[in-house]
Amino acid sequence: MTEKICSRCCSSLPRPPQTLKVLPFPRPLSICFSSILKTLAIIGGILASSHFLSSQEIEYRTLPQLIETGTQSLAHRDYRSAATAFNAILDNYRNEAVWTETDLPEKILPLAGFTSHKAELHPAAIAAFTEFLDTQNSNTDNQLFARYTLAVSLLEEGEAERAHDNFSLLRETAGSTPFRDLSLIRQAQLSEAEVARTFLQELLENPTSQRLADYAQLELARLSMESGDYDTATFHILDTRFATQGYSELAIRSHLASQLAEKIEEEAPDLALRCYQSIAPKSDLIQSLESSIGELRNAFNDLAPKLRTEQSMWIDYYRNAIAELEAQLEGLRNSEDYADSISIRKARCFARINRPLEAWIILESLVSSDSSVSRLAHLDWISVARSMNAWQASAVIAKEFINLYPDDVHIPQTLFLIALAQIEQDQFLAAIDSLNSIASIEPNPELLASCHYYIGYSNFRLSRFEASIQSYRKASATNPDSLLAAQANIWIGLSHFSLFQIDPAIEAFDTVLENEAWRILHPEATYRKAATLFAAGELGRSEQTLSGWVQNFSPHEREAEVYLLIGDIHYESGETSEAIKAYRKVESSDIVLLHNATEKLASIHLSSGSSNEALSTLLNFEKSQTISDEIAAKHFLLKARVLSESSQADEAKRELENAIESFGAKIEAEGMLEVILTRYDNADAALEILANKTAQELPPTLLARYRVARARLAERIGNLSQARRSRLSLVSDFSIDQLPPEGLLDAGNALLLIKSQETPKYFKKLLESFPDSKYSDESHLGLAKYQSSLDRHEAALTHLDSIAFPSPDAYLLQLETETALKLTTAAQSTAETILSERYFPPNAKAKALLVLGNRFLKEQESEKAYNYFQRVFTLYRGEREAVADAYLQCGKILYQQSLYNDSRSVLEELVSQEDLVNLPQTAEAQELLEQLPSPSEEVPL
Amino acid sequence: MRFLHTSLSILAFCCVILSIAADEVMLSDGSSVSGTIAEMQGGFLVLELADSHGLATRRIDPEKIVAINFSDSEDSRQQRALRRSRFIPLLSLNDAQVLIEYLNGQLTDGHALPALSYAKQWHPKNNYETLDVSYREILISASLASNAPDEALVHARNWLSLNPKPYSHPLPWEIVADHLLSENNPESALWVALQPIALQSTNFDSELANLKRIAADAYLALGYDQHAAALHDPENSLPQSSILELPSLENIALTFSEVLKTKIPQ
Repeated sequence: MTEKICSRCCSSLPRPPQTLKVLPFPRPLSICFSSILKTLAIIGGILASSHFLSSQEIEYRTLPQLIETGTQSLAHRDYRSAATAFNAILDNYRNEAVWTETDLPEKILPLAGFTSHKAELHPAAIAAFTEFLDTQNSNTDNQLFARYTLAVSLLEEGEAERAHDNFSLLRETAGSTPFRDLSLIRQAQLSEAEVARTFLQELLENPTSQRLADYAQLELARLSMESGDYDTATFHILDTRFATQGYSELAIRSHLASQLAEKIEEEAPDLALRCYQSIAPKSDLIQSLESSIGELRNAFNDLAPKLRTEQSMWIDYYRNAIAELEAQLEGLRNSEDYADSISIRKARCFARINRPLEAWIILESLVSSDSSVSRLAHLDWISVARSMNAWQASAVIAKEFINLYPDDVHIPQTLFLIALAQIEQDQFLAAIDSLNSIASIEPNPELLASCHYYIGYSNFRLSRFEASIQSYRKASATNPDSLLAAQANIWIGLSHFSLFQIDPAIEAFDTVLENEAWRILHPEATYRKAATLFAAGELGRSEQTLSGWVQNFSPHEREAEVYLLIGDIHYESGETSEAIKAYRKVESSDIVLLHNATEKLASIHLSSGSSNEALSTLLNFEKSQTISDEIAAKHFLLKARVLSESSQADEAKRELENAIESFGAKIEAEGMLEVILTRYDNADAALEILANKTAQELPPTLLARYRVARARLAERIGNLSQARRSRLSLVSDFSIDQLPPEGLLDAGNALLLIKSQETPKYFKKLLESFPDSKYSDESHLGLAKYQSSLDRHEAALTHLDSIAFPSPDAYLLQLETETALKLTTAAQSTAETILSERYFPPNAKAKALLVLGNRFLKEQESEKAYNYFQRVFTLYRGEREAVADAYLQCGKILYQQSLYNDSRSVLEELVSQEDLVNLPQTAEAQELLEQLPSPSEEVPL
Repeated sequence: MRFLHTSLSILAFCCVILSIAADEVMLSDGSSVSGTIAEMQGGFLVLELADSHGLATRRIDPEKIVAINFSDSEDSRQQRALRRSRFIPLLSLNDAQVLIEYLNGQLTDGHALPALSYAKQWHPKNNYETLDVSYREILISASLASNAPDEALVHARNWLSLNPKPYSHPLPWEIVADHLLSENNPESALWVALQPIALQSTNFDSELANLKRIAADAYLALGYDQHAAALHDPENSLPQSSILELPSLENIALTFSEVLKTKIPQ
């Protein structure tokens, strides 16, 4: 009978729902359902037993009542009443025959234990279960359940050690039931992390429940994460296949993944990215939870009609479980979506692993959304664009940020980023504008100082050294104790040095040296001071300064340069043996620096007649270093010179030919044009050889170099048409990517002559692909000339501003451009610079004089103007147009002053010049002469 | 007499059959009408009423229809699909799903051209967002299987023009990116291929293999070998020194809107 009832009871039990409560991690997995399941199995037996007992007419009347009260209370989940009733049976009947001679203890003890446990009467629960386990030989399921509940009660009572022992016993006796896994999890929770891991690993080796195995994986991940073992944590979260994909697992896993990702974002952004990518979107969690609720509701609907009265607790259970999950669902739906926060973190991870395009895509999508992280994403987007050297794009994005968030606290910082982007693009004038606009909104002192600092830098790059000094001084004064102030002072020194203002330069370096707080920059300041003294010819002081450097700062990253400079000082002082010693001390991983020292050593030997020594120095260098593209030309040119002076002219030629063969086709090998020109130094003969070379099947870059050489040689002997043809062939016969820097320059200049729209492409390619090329200034000049030819004077001026060392041509174009833009002050300053330069060509000087003359004419200072004009036709008669202009202006000045005879005399001088006869100025002079009154009409002053 | 009896018996049997096999139209007032759903005419559903042998019909305003129950469960998938295709805007999700199953079956059986033709007719009438993706996938797959890559490209571009963009569906991105690569436009191919890769959500990684291949090829074409390798194998970490410069955008005068629009040339 008992078995039958029990069987019927068990068969009608619903299957455990497949949802777990969502517990705030790391609370243990809920096991209440399992407990209830087991409990109900026992209850079935007990109820059957109590019916049996009732039918035996037991002498003590209160017993059935107690049993009835207990079971009814249990069915209504009134655990306290149930516990009171069952414990009363223990207290009152323990010594009675009904207890000692029947199986009542086997039935009542677990009920007393369970209800006490649920009523949180843990001492009673412990006593009942302990007695049950010690005295009853019940079936295994009941024993396992009793042992588990006992252990949990012990835990609740703070008896961790006994609880641990009971879990351990449970694990040994549980066989392959889920109790084994539960006890392992409980033991893990009671243990230190290291031991806990072994319990969890044991579970995973042979799990009895996939769900508990998944829990163990997640718990292992958490433990690993807490102990800083992120690799293992990553393995458990990312590289483990989870058998169950319920809402709880999904939520816990996502939560752990986000925690882990946050911890490893900087150290291991690739893994962090995978973690972020594994986080379930909110929509997935909602879907999963909805599905769980649906399953639970279906199970309840199927089960509800079949439940008997004593199983009504299941109705409560389902209703409560569904209500709880629905509340969670509501909470989840109302919670803020975390997708965008995760997205921005993914973007940062992408950026960190050098996959900025993906970062860009994510950030762009966030920026164009109405996400709460849009503003942050926009700032990140600017940084990503900068990291890709997309300076222009970063400036555009930054400007849009300012438009969108004009009151944002990051505006000054953003403007600053724009300015840095502009500096990176060599747009120094634009950068100065941006930086000035930050300065005008009065940012914090640190940023203001940085603005002044970069204004100084931009001015320095524009060769506006006076302005750069002023800006650096402001930077230093704004944040005087900062390291930036120290750096600003070094730049002040460099600016003065560039103006050849030796004393102020040294004073600036000394300012750094006198401040102990700036000690980190003392080696730099000392070196710069020594270099300045050297440039000023104060070799003794320079050497003394460098000796101090070696004593105080060695070893230091500047050391190689210091010894190089010491060598130069000794060399200049004629102390060649000391110079050799110093050069030999130059040790550096920088092959250019190293080669510099070698080159100087070889030159000393060569100049002292020891060409063998020179050769051996160069050969030693070749043995110890691999000749790189950047030094190849210099090295082989010197070697050829050494060989020539050792009467090994053929060997020298062979060296040059080998160099051309090895490096001529390498686009980065700057100076190979000079090697070719040195090898083929006789223009007439060389042209013939080069004509053959250019026809041969050579690598395109080398072929292009031969074409350039041919053009240069043709130009040298006055064959301009051949030079032009050679240069234009660089455009027609080569792709732009095959051209070396000199090829790009010559192609650009050839196109400029024919006013081709393709002109800027070649100059820009040169500037972009070879930013440090020695042809950069010429490229900027070419671009300026092109813009000027289209009357785009402002654009021309921008390119002229980018020229580091302006040539006379550049100054002249600047003068013309400033004149065209009516920038009279600037034009006057440029003209004065041109006149002050001794070696500038006559055309530039004549033009400068004209500009100055016109300037004073406009200011009605006729006498000064006359003087400038007069100097043109006095000093620069070869400059026909300028001379004609000057004559005409002088004639006009005299005419306006009614000095008609003098005017006539000057104008007649102009019209009488045979070489000026066809110029428009001469025609105008002729007209003016006809308007002059006859000599008799002149009124003497 | 015997004949009449027999005929009546047959008629009665047929009526039973008809009454068993009748379609049912549920109306918004709670009533329902049975019969054979015949056609859509002048915007109304025409129902041949049960027991009228086709002599009595009823025109029903679609707005009053709550649901339609077709009585053709015994028919072949093709018959069920083709019948439903005449009433697509009125179909329940389950009935609309029958059409998709039919098209997928056609594709699997190698009948790509009819599948493409039907999909083009049916897709515009579909009202279910959940089926939109299926139709679009069929349009592209059927175009490709019919050796009409240009048409596949059109369908892919149409799909990508949706807002929000279908980042969780790699197929249209693959088609457009692959096309751009074949057009020797690796920059644009790269931007397109990387969109779903960047914006992928969970459980989506394995579906991105083709896009990663295309992106890697584009990187290679642009000279970024290390980036290509990193896409093939995430273990190949990229050194920070290998700065990836923005392809193509640097050399053109950009406005902000151009920056935003440059990435997906459609």
